[in-house]
Amino acid sequence: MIVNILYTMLFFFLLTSCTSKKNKELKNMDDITPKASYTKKNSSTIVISKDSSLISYFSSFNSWQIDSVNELESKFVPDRFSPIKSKKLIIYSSSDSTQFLSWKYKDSIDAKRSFYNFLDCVEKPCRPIQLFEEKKIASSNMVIFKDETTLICLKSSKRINVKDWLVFFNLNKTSTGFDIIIEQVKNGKTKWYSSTKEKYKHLTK
Amino acid sequence: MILDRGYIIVEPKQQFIDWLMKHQDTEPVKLEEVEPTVYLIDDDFMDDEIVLNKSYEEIFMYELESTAVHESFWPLITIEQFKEFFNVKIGVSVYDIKSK
Repeated sequence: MIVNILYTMLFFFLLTSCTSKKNKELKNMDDITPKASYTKKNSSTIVISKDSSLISYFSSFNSWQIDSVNELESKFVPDRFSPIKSKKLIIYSSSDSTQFLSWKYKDSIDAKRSFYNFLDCVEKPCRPIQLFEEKKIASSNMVIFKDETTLICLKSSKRINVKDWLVFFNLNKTSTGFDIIIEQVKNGKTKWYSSTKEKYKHLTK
Repeated sequence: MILDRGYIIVEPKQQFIDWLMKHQDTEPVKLEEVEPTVYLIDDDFMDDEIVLNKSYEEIFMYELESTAVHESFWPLITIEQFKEFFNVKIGVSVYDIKSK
């Protein structure tokens, strides 16, 4: 008899525990599996601001389809030589981006000091170069322009059209000519030029 | 920080340097000076060949546009030509050690 009562109790116990209506919380696998914390849109830490007036500045040149222009906070060798003005930007177009770096100095002595030091280390790893030497000094396509008091450096994944930029600098009254222009294409060696309003001349040793 | 990206490392071969030498107005560097380029891609793939077939045209165009060779001398954009010019490595382990 007692055994029967115990079996009956056990049966009811099992029955009630199996039919419990308690809502169990279901775990979503997406919530518990590890995820990458990378956000594609915010991957850059050096771009600090957007300025629409800069877009119109660069868009003044017809053939350029500029999407946005961002300011860079990185430091470069020419920053050490007390420029009176500097502009460090990344210009984005639909298919490409160009790094635009420019420094203006109070006189030609500062500009020269800055330029020659820049030639010792245009980018890491430093690959110092002598005047008119032909060698690789940068990983990507790069052009350096130097006039009396201004130093400009452009870098891009695509080849930089130097003549287009000369027209741009002329139009924007940045400079009508440069005593030195260094062009290096990706996987190529440097070539040296000079320019005036009328002439674009290849320079050699 | 782990990035949800895969990568394709593209390294020019001697054939590419020879082609540059033939058509470029500036002297190309030697093979040992050539640096590979890393292209970040989506990481949702299983088969390297599928990834390469999906991405090679865009990468090939990038590599050609970065040279000083006039477009009229560009080769046909085919997977065979791409493999003749470049070594590739494909993977998914991408870490950003500067982003905390």
